[in-house]
This record gives sequence, structure tokens and C-alpha cells, in this order.
Amino acid sequence: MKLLAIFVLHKEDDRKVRILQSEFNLEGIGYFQQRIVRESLVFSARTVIERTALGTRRSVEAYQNVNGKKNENTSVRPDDLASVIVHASVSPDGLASVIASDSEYPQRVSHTLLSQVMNDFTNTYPFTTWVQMEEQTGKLASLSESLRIYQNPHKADPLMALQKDLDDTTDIVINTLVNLKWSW
Amino acid sequence: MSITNWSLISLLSSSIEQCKSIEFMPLTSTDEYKVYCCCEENIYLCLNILEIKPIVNLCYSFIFSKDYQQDNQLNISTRVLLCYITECLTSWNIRRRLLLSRIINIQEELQFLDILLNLKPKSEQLFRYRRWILKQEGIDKVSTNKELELCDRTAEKHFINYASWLHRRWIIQYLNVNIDEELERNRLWLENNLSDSSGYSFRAHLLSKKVLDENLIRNELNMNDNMLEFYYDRESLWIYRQTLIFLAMKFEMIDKKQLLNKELDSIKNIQENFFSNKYSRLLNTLLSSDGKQFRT
Repeated sequence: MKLLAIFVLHKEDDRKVRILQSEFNLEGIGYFQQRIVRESLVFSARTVIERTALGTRRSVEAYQNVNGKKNENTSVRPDDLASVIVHASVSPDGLASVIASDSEYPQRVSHTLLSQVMNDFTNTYPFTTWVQMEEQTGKLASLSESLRIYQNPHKADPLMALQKDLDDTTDIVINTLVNLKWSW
Repeated sequence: MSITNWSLISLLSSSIEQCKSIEFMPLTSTDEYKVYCCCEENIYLCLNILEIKPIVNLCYSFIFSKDYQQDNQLNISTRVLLCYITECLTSWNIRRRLLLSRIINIQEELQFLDILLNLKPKSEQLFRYRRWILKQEGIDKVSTNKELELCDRTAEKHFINYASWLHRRWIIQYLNVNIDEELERNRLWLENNLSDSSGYSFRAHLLSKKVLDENLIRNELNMNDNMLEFYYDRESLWIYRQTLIFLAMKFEMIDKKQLLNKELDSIKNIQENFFSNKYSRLLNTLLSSDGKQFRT
């Protein structure tokens, strides 16, 4: 199970989403395919946040082999374990974060990490600063650290050692990218 | 083959030899020139997926032609062909002959196979050829760690990779690897790749190699319990639990009814889902029929 990327974004309204910072972990994907995978992950992150309402969370399945190839000759089953899952969370004031992982990675841990990332980002860059930020100018140092540590969810997440109950996670529904609707 | 065609094949062959990674991607050709491959930083090679047909046809026509072929020419053309078509048995056999006449160096060949395995992790012929080479080398020259690492890598690249796990079973048997160490390595691997049923079936195979006793099975059931707490809806975990129960039922000493009842109780703590229901139904069937319904 692995994490492919973490993004921090700013959602102004349903048409404008800016990516403030992004970190990738694409080892194991071929050199030439990395370019393509990177672009499609950026696209999925942007699209999912565009269509997610403020103050909600969701996990979306993107039909794409983790190695960068589209599903060519495999009959696409809904639980095809080779697809990428995009976990997204938008806070009520417009800050959003997205994690792209494979389908093995436990959903709860990724949503915990999403909240943690947003908290860290707000601590480093207060509300007034990140509203004005340009694309890709965020420099939160702990982002790449978190991406690295959370590759192994058992060690990284303290809650894995306890029973699972998260109080602020409401319904996390898995949709497909195709089924995403505009949220107004 | 014409001179231009031959120089194309030689060029491809030497780039394949030189590079550490090969991929297939669509590259655009123009009317003036055709792009067959692209090489970056002298180690990353990218072959044009849109120009496979002409290259493969050239290689095939050379290898299967009735004219006399020189050994080094065969070396070059089979090397190119095998990157595109890994299952061409004739080419592999040609390379076996070349290896026996020492035209091909064993270490370089193993390197070449490494690179091809990154490209096609689930190729039966590749693994078979690799096993043949290892047998030629002799046991002391084979590096166990390297082979096991290769199996790990290919098993991760392709989900439920039969060829890779078969190779691993062969390595364990051929090189007499310590079973306990392997069980531990397998446990760590399975933690990261939960849904891989081949990994679990390999684990059951390892268990069957050891002298079975109650403690062993109980440990395995406990480990499975821990995993099920968080991943209660993964089919592979439930199927492995089923395998363990069947293994346990083989024992004469064990009290079957007690074991099955204990299992039914422990399932109640796990969140109910399709697989847990199926498993309870199985346990109930076993309880009511005294285990005679299933061949153990």
C-alpha cells in the first residue's frame, strides 16, 4: 500500500481551485510514465476539489493503473485493486487537501492525515496569507515528511493501535470520478 | 536484411544493453523520420509503442529465415525481439544455445533479465529461463537475497503474480532457505500488501513445510485476528482464515467442536459483512456435519 501524492489547495469557488503545494512519491513508476502520472494526479486533485462542497470529505476512485497505464484490456470491475483512490477534504473556509493512494491504503488513516495536513498548513500560513497565495508557492516542510512517514500506516497512525472512532468524520462515500456532480 | 534495417536493430540492441530501465510509450513520428526509441540520461530507454510491428517483423524474418545466421547476429536480434515479445520460446531457446556456447555471459544475461522483469513482471518464460540459468551456474554462485528481492519486486508490480510466487517457491526449495526467516519476511510483506491472495497461499505452503503443531496455528490465527480488526472486509484475510481452520482440523489431538465454536464466538466481535457471514455459514456447516462433508 502506498501514498502517491499529497496536495494542499485553495478553493475559492466551484470554478477556481489553486494548488498551493504538492508533493509526490512516484518511485516504482517508470521514468517516462512519471510525467504522465504526475499530470493526471494533478488533474484529478483539481477536479475532485472543484466538485466537492465546502466542509465535506469524500473518497473518489479514479480508474487508472497505479503504474501509469490506463485500464486497457482488463475488464473493469468496481473493486479492481489497481486503481488510484483520491481522498479529498475541504474545510469550510476554503482550504482543501487531497491525497492520492492505491486502493489498499486504509481510508480512515488517509482522512486523518488530511486533517493533520490542513492543521499544519494553517499553523504555518495563517488564513490571511494563504488566501492570497499563488500557485505552488507553499513551502510547508513537514508535507514531504508526512508523505514519507505515512507510507506505512501501521507505524504512522496512532489510532491504528486503538479502536477506531473518529468524531469529526461523517459519511465518507466512495464515488467514481465519472459520477461526481456539481455541488450546487 | 538490408543494411539500414540491420543498423536499426543493432542500435536498439546496444541501447537495450546499456540502459537500466525500459518502458513502452507512444512517441510521435513525423513524415520525415520515424521515431523508434528515446533514450534519456543514458539509462532510461523508452521504446515507441506505435512502431512495434516493423521491428518485430524484422526480427522474426531474420530469426526464422532459412539462411545461415551468425551467432552474434542472433544474439542481437533475439535481444531486441524479447523486449517486445517476451513469450517467444524459440528466441529463448536460441539464447540458451548461445549461453551454452559461451557467446553470452551469464552475469550480463541475469542483468538483462532483471530489466525485462521490470517491464513484464508476470512472464512465465522469463522466470523459467532465469531458473535454467541459475541451474547452469551452480548453487554456490546464486545470490539468495537478490533472487528474493526480485520476487518481492515483481510480486508488488503485478497483483497476484503467479509466476513470481512460483519462482519464490522454487528458490526456497533449491537454495534451502530457512523457513522461519521466510515466514517472518512474508508476514512483513503481507502487512503492506493485504489483498494479495498469492501471498497468503504461499504462506500456507510454508506452513505445510513445517511440522505442524497447535501453537503455530494458534499464532497464525492470532495474527489474522489482528489484521481483521482493521481490514474486516478484505476477502484474502477471510480465505486465509479458512485455510488455517482446515489445517487445524487435520489434527487428531485437537477438539474440533471446541475450535469451531470458539471461532464462531470470535467472529461476533468483528463488524458484520459479506465475508464474515459466509465464514460463519461455513463454520456452521462444519459443526453440524462433524467435518465429514469436506475432504481434509
